[in-house]
Amino acid sequence: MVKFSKISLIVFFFLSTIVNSYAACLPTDFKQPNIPINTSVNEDLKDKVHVWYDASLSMSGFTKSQSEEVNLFGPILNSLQQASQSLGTETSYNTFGSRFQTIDENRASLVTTQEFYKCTQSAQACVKKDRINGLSKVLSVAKKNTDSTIIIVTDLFVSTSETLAKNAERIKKPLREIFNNGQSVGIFGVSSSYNGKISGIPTEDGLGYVTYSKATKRPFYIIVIGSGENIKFIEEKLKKNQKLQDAIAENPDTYKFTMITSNVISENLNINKKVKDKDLINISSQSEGYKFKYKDNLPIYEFITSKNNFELKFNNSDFIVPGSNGVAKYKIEEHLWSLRGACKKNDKWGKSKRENLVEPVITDETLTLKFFEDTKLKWGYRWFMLANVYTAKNGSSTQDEFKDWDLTDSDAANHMQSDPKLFKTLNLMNIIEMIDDVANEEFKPTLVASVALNFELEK
Amino acid sequence: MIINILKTLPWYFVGLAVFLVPSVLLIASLLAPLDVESFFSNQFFADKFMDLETILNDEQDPANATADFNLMFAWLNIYLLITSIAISLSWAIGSHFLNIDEPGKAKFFGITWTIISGILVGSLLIVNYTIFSWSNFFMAQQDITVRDMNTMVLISTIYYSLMYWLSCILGTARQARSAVLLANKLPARNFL
Repeated sequence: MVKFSKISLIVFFFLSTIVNSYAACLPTDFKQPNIPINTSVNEDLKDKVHVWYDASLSMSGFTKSQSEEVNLFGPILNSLQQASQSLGTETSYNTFGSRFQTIDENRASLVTTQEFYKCTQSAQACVKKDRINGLSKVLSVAKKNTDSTIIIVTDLFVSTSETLAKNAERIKKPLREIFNNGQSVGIFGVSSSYNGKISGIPTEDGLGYVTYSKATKRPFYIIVIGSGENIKFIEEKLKKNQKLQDAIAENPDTYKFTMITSNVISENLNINKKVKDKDLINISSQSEGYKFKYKDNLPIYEFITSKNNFELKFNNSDFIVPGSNGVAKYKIEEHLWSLRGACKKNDKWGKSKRENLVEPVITDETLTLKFFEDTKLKWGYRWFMLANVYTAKNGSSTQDEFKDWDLTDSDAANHMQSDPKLFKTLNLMNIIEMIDDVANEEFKPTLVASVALNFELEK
Repeated sequence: MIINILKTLPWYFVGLAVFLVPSVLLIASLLAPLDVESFFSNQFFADKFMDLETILNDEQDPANATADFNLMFAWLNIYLLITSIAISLSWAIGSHFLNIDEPGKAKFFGITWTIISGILVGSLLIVNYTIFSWSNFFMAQQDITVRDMNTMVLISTIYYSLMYWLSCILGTARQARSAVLLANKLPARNFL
């Protein structure tokens, strides 16, 4: 019994030495990076969905049949209603434009009919109201519902005055809060048949407005404000619509989509331990002294090598919001320590002042971190490298696709005189660029991942 | 033959000592701890040739690096000294076995000496580059720039070649009948 106790004691001492030897191999002044805490989201918990329909008179043109063109307004709105039901626990319907009010399900079901857009006021009052889009009011409501998904169906026909000075600020201010809350804006554009009167077109002399009723086709827009995942969910649902698929097959310009967001990072790679040992691509896990372990959510690769540079490769899909504009530039916060000889507890590590140790290489699918490409490290030393990868600049969104449908104030009269079949959207790019500018203003660097390399360099 | 060899060896050692003594003193000072006062300042070579910028950039201990550097330089000199002594002594003894008393053999003597001298220079270069670059014996080889390394290679090769040359000039088979090379024209020949 005494003998067994002695052996146990020796084994315990031996094991504790192994554990301590690993702990001793960290630099003395090493501080754990500030990795965000895992806020586990309950996937089953759904939020509210608020659907806003533009009830302006000109929208009724999408509901009337037009023999020459395919009507996508009805089928797409049906798909959208189904998607919104699947997305949230509760769906509320509202109108804006000529009437700013909450409507019940019965009224909402009429959105693809002319009855929904009927103006009960005088013709003059109806036309006047039709010129005001009222998007800023919807955005003001959206900013208050940070946990909800907001869906706006509109022709996005915004007068120039609504995009200037104080009116522009009325749109930008709620957008700032929306982006600050980590939400994204998805803009879907669908070109559908149109049989109605478009009002609010500025005249050449700028003294008034005219209407146009010869258009057979016109784009309408679905703006979704919410999490990147929810926007992606709606995109997938809409794309499954058979009529839309047929229309896209015939003319790819029928459908356009862009997602604008201030933060394209869906999650920090450390939180759910998505950094794996296989990500270090040029060091074999079978090599001598190789270890990979997480220390308080920080992945540490430990190895012995004579190689002078290493590569870590991550899949963009693991951390970038799908369908978003991605990341154009990363900033790497680097910390490098060196230790002479074998690793012993309380050894004094030297903190290097060297810079540009890691070069991020970005492709559509991957992010590769190239370590020590232009740096020569001394052999015979143990090196400890900590790299915190932050986003530095978001990628440019696919907003340029919408340029084909943009109509500027100065071109409006000329466009109308050419008797177009497809009538473009007034100030479309002004609005989209405004949203994009606000997203860029609200951009904050986000920690994508923190990784550590702890290696002994041989000659 | 043996008598001849024994007669020339003291002269060989005289020639050798001119360069051997400073070299041994340098090696001793390089191997001494940094805080010990020595004949040569043992910081001199590190101050002159060590790339301190990288060491300070990596916050590594300059005292350790200097000690490493001195150790490397000391061992470099030890190896160069051994090489020079081995080759020069081989020549000092071996030259007596060359049959140079026959007419026309002086050229043969000269050619052999040139080849041996070439082997010496080649050996000195190999020792230098092995210590500074090819081997992994000394970590301090990383603390010297290529330019400084080449300067040190040049200086040490010249120094130990001179040691070889002087020891060979004085210690060669100068009793031979033929007036071979410069050695036989030296006044000391009369004392042989």
